[in-house]
Amino acid sequence: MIDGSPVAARELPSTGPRPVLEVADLSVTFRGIGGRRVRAVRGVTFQVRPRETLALVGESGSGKTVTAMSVLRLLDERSAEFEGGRIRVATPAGVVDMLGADPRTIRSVRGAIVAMIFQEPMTSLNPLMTVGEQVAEAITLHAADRALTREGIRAAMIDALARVGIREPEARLRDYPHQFSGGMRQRVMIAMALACRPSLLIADEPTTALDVTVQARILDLIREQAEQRDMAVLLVTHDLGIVADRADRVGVMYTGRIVEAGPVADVLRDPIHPYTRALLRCRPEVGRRRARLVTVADTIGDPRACRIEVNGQAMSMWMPKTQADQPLGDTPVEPRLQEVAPGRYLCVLPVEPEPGHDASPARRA
Amino acid sequence: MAVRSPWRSVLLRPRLAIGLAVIAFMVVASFASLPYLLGSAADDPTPRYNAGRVEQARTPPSWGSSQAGSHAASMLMGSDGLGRSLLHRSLVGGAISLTVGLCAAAASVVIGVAYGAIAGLAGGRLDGVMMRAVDVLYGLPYILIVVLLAVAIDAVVERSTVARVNRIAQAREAHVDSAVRALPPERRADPRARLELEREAMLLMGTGELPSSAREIINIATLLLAIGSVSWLTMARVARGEVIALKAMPFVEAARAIGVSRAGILFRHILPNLTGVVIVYATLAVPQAILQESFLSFLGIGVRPPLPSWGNLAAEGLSEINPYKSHWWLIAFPCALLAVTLVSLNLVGDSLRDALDPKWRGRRP
Repeated sequence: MIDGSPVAARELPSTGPRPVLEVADLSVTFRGIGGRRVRAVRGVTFQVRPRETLALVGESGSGKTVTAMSVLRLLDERSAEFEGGRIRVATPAGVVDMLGADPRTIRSVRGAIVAMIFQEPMTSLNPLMTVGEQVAEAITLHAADRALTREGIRAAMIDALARVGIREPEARLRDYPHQFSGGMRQRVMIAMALACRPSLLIADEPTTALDVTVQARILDLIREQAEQRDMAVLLVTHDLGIVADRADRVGVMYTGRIVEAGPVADVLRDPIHPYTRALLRCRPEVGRRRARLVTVADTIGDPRACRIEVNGQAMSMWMPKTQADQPLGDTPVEPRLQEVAPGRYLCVLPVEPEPGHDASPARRA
Repeated sequence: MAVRSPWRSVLLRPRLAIGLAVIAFMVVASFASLPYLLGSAADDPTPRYNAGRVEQARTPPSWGSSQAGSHAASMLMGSDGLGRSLLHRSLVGGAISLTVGLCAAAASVVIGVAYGAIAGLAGGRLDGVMMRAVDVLYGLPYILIVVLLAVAIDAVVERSTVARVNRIAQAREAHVDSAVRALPPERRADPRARLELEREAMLLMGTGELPSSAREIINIATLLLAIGSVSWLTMARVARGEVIALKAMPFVEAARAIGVSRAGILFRHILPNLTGVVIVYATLAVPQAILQESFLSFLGIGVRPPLPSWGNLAAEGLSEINPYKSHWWLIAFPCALLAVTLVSLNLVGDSLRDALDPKWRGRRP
């Protein structure tokens, strides 16, 4: 039996300082050819507070990248549609509602308040512009207030590249992206993203395309820069190892929903949701021999194993994957995030208690 | 570090070097001789390219030195049925053909890239409508378009000329009438005074007829418009495809994520990346346009005699071929010049495509 009060997701109390980013009840649907609609994100709710690192983790297609792209309104909105929900970004000039803002306001948030780095460092830089020109573009875009001289921009460019650990930045300003390795390009991307001192960095699988030794260094760099600049990080990844190492809190995504959220140590050590457990069990471990790796589908097929009692109410955590493609209306009641323990949230749906079945299933307290 | 310029290796290719040398020779020869050939000799008011003596009609090419001075040089390619130097006419014809080719290619680049970039960037329904229009134009036989355009422009020019001639005639009439009324009464009835005033008015206002040079310019401009308006179709398709591919590149997304505006993305990130492909297709569009010009002139709807072009020189040469005596030089030289120029331009275009278009790199079709 879990104690704690069922709190609807939209009324999550904001603990601590004002969040830099507040996403509530976000749903994104893609319209396909012939009127087919695919719901990629359903009712996602989370907050990123200043100086913390929140990780969104999940398998491919779970909606984590779509969620991250939605924050900056980078999706192609001829096919992507927001159905309700809120995305609020705290700026020095006040809170901006990204879903209702005009294009000019959205552009003023991009890069300046919320910056983003991507998965593909090899193609994320314009091959025809020197690295210096691209960093300068990032610096000058949002620098209308600062009086920028050529020397000022140059100094800022050199400073931006030096901070991300590029040696001889002055000489390398004139180089083109093809003269950099993948890891160095990702450093340049980070330099561009951080050039305007954003208060939130969205890192969408920043190390997926890099080899393991470079991965660690890029992640170190992101953490070090975040600490130096009092910046929050929204880390999108599928790598639980990275989550365990680098994040403060984690949201586990599955079929477009956050199924479980909470402090990293708690969630990884004591997962409640069957999907989180499945995800943890799927990790190959060095030194352990197994005939074959366990897949997620192997482990969460049984709805009866997904029952849980929250505050005396029988709830189901079962979410068949096929649901993801159905429009919202087809599910009679949407499961929603409920706080099941202080700081820990679970995506559940109220159900009838099963007769003859023990009210408290096999679940550690 | 020093990087070898990509141009060096490109220029060292023999095909490109030969092609460029031949084209440079053609361009220099035909344009440098223009001032001389458009001027006229002291004893004859017609420009040199059009001046001939009937007693020298159909002289075979002579490379010997039976005659002396510049006259021998003018007979290097023999003379035509009116005794005009074929060398002189070929040089002027070359200047016209090359000008038409270059201008038509430039027009096709400007129209095609603008059209294709708009369609590619807009996407969706507008893209569909714009590209279906291109498909329809592709389907029409271009000879038909050119003929219709030439006829239509001729009709417009003719009608406006007639209107102006009439208007100016009326104005002259009115001018003369008012001048007659201003005369002292005893001279008003004098027909000689009226004739005098009419001559004066004619000198003052002219007839409103177009001078023949203006007609020639309109004729060539029509040809340019006609060729340009059909040759941009391929360019538009290529540019659209390339823009769509670039739009999906991560560096465009990264630029959006730092807050670059739509115009900034188009002009700083997408159009510069089109240059390679555009240069290649523009180089290949030049011989295409020259060929079309010559073809139309050969059929008699392009450049009209007495103005020469390689196409109508060849047509004249063909009419001189008969079973009794063949004046082979009249058809051989214009066709040879055309062929050599086209081959050279195609060599240049192909080498540039090998060097600049990534999709063709390393492929030998």
